[in-house]
Amino acid sequence: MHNKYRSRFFINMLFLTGAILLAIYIHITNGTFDMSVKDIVTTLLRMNPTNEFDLVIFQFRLPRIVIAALVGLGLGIAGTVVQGITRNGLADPGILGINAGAGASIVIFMFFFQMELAVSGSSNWLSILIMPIFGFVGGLAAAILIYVFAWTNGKLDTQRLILSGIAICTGFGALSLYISLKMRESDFEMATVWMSGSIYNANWMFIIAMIPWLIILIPVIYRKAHLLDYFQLEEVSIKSLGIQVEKEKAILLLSSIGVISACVSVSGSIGFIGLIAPHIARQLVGIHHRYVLPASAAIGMFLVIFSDYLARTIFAPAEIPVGIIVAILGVPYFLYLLIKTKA
Amino acid sequence: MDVTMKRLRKTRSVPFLIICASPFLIILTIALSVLYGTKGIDVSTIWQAIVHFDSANVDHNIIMQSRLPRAVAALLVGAFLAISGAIMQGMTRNYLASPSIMGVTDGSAFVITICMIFFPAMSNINMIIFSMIGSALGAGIVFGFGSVMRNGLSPVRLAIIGTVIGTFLSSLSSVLATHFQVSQDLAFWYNAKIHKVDPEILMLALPIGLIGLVLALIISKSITILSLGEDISISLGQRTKWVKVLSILIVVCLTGTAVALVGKIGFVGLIIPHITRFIVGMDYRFVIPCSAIIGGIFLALCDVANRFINFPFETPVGVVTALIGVPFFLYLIRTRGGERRA
Amino acid sequence: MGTTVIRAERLTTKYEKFTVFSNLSTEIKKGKITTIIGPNGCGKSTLLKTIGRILKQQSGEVFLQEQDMKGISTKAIAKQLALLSQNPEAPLQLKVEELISYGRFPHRKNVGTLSSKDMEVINWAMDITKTSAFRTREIAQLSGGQRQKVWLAMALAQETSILLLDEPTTYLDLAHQLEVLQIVDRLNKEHRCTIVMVLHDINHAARFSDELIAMKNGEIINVGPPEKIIAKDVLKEVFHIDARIMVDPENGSPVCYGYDALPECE
Repeated sequence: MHNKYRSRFFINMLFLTGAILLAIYIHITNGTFDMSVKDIVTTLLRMNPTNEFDLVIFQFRLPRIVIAALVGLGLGIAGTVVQGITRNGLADPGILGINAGAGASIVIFMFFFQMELAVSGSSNWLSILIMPIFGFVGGLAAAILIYVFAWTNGKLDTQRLILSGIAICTGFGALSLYISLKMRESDFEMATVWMSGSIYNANWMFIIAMIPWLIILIPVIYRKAHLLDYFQLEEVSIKSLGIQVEKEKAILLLSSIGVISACVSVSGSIGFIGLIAPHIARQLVGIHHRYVLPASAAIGMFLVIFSDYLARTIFAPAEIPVGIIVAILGVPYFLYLLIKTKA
Repeated sequence: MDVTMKRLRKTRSVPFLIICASPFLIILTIALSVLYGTKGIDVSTIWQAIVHFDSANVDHNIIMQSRLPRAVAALLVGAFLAISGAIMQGMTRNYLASPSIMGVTDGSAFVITICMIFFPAMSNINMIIFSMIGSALGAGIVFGFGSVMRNGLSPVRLAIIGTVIGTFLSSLSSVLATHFQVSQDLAFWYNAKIHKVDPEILMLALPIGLIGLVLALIISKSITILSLGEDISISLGQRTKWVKVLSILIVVCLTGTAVALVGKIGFVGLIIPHITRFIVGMDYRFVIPCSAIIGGIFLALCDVANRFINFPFETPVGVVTALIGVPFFLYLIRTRGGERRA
Repeated sequence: MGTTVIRAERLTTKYEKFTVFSNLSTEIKKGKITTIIGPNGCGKSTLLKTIGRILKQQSGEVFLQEQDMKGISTKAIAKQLALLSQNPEAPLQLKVEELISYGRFPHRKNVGTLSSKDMEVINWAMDITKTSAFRTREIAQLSGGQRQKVWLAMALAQETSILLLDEPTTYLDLAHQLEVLQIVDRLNKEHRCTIVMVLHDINHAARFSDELIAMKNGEIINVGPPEKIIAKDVLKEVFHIDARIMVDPENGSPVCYGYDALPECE
C-alpha cells in the first residue's frame, strides 16, 4: 500500500520539477533583454562568453531565480510545519504574523546597525549575514505572543490563533512602518521596498547568508516530518503514544521560524506561499508529511519563481513587489479554502 | 439577560455628562492641536488669526490653512469612524465589526485609486461620492462572502474574510498604482494624510457628517433593539430590514467620507465603541453620540501625539492608532474570543 | 489479592485554577478490570488521565510496577500502558490500517517501513477488534462503532499490558457498546491485560468489572467488587438516587433496574 503513495509521489515530483524548470526557463530568457536558450547555455558553460550576457545572467537573473527558489522552498516547508503543528489548514506564517515579526526586527536592525556597520568600513557583508539572526528573534517574539494569546485550556484555540495572528501582523507592520519612517531617505526607500516582499535587489551575498540556515534546519525538519502525521491526532492520543509533544513541537516550530527568518531577511514578507503550497501538495500526494513536505517545497519554489517573473515583467520596466503578486494570487485561493472547509 | 437589562438601565448621568462637557473638550482639543506642532504658536496669535485674519501673516496662514482644518478633520474622521463602528457592532451583534476590519475602508481606498488613475482631475465632491461607492463595494464583498460561507457571519470568520479581502484590494490598488505610476500620490491615502487635509473637501464633508449623525441618532433606538438579537427585534414589531438598510447607508456614507478626507485609519472604529459601551452601557441612543465625541477627541489627540513621536517629522496617524489599537484588539480576543463564543 | 500494577499516592490535579481532586490515593490490581464510576464532573476522567500521565499532577506520585512514573521516559511508559481518549480525532483521509500502525510508534526505531513484528501485532489487533474487513478504508467512511473499534485497535497495537479507556462506549448504540466491552473482556481474560476504564453505565460497569471505584466531588467514596458498590446506600451517596437493585439471574452480577431521584434536601 505504501508503494502506491510512493509512485504517486514520484510522478508528482517529476511533474513539479518540470514545472520549476519551465518557470526558470521563462524567467531567465524573458525580460527587457531577451535571450535564447543557446545564449544562456553557452554563457553558463563559459563558451565564448560576452560581458553583456555575463552581467545579465550572473548579476541579475540568476541570483534572483536562486533566491526565489530558496525562499519558495523555505516558505513551503515552514507553512507545512506550521499547519501541521497547529492542526489548522488556515494557519500560515504570514497570516500568523511570524513574517511580520521577523520583518519588524530586521527593520529595527537596519535602523540601528546597518548604517554603522557600513560606516565603520567592514562593508555590507557582515550585516547581511547577521540579518537572519535578528529576523529569528522577531519571529520568535511573534510566535510567543501568538501562543500567549491563543493558548487556552492547555491547547491552541483555532479561532484565536488566526485573530491574534491578524492583530500581531498589524502591530508589527505598524512598528516597521514607524521605524522605517525614522530612517534616512535612502534607507527608507530600501526598507519599504523590502518590507512589501521583493527580491529585485538580489545578489549572491544574500544567497550565502540564507543557505546555512536552510542547510542546517531543513534536514532537522525533514527528520521529524513523520511526527507531523501523529500531530494530526488529538492531544490525548498523541501523548498516549509516548511522543514528547511539547518538545517535538518546539523543535519543529523553532526550526521553521529559523527558516522563515532566513527567507524574510532576504526577500521581505511574502505571505500566502506557506498557506497555498501545503494545500496543493496535499491534493497531489496525500496526507503523509514525508511526501507533503518535499512536494510543498517544490510548489513553493515554482510559485515564487513564477510570481517573481510576473513581478519583473508585467509592468516592465517598473517592478512590482513579488509579495503583492503572491497576495493577489493567494487571496482567492484562501477564500476558496474558507468556503470549502467546514465551519 | 439580567446583565443586559442592568447595563441597559445603567445610569444616564454619565452620557449626559459626556455630552454636556463635549463642547469644552472639543475646543480644548482643537486648541491643543493648533498650539503644538513643528512651529510653536502662542494662544494670542490663534485668537488674532480667528478674529482678525491677516493673509500676509505666516502664522495666521498656518493656523487657518493647516492647523485648524487638520484639527477639525481629525475630530470629524474620528467621529465618523466611531459611529460607523458602533452601528456595525450593534447591528451585527459582532464584537469585531468595524470599518477597517470589515474591508470597508479598503474598498474606499481601492475605488479612489482607480479614480486617481483614470480621472486625475476629479472634483472633491465626486471624490467623496466615489469613496462612498468604494465603501459599499468593500462591505458588499465581505458580507457577500460571509453569507455564502457556512457560519461566515460569525465575528471571527467575518474578521478573517475582511482582513483577507482588504489585503487583496490593497494589493490590487498598489499593482494598478505601479502600472500607472501614481504610487507617490497613492501613498498618501494609505498612510493617512491627515496633515495634508484639503480645507475645501472638509467643507463638503461637514454637512454629510451632520446628516449621517442625525440619521444615526434617529435609528439609534432601533439599533439598541436590534442589538438584542434579530428574533427579539422582530417579535417587538420592528421593521428590521429597513433599520439594516438605513444603517448600512449611514456606515457607507460616513466611512466613505472619512477615507476621502484622510485615507485609511484603522482601529478607531473598533475600539471606541467598546470603550464607549463600557462607560455608558448598552443603550445605543447614548452609545452613538458618545462614540462620536470620544472617537473624535481620541483621533485628534492621536494626531497631536504623533507630531512628537518623530519630531519634527510627521508620522502617519494610522501608525499611532495601530500601536494603541493592537493591544486592545488582543485584549478583546483574549477576553471575548475563542471557539465557544465564535 | 492480586499484585498492584499502578499505585497513585496523594495525587492533586488542577484544571486551570480549579482543583479537581487533592490528596487522592488508589491502587489498580494486576490482571483485573477496574472501572471508575461517578456523576459528571466528579473527576473520574481526570484521574484516569493523571494515571496515564496525560495530565500532569500538581503533587503526588504515580507508581507503575513500583517505579515512579516521573522517572520513566514517556516512550517507555507507552510500551507498558496505552490510553484511549474519550474523543479521539484523526484526519478523515487516513486509512484504517495506517491509523492502527500509529500505535506501533513507541516500538519503532527507524522511521521508514514497518517490521514484520510490527505487521504481526497490527494484524493481531485488527483480528481481535474485528476490523480487518475494512483495513483499507478511510476513516471518513466508517460508522461511529467501527471507528471506536479502530481506535481500540490502535491502542492494542501499542502492545501494552495495561489499557486505560476513557468512556469507550459513549456515542455508541447498544449493540456496539456491548461489542466494545466484550472485546475488552476478552483482552482481559485471554491476554491477561489489566484494564482501567471510565464508564457512565453502572450496569455495564457491574457486569464487566472485577473492581469498581466510586467517585464524587473529587473524592473516592468507595472501592470494591460490584456486589459491594452497586448497592442502595453507595449509589445513594454517589449519584444521589434511590436505586432498585437485583441480581441478574444469567450472570450473577448486580443490576440496577430502576431508580428515582431523591428529594433535594436531606
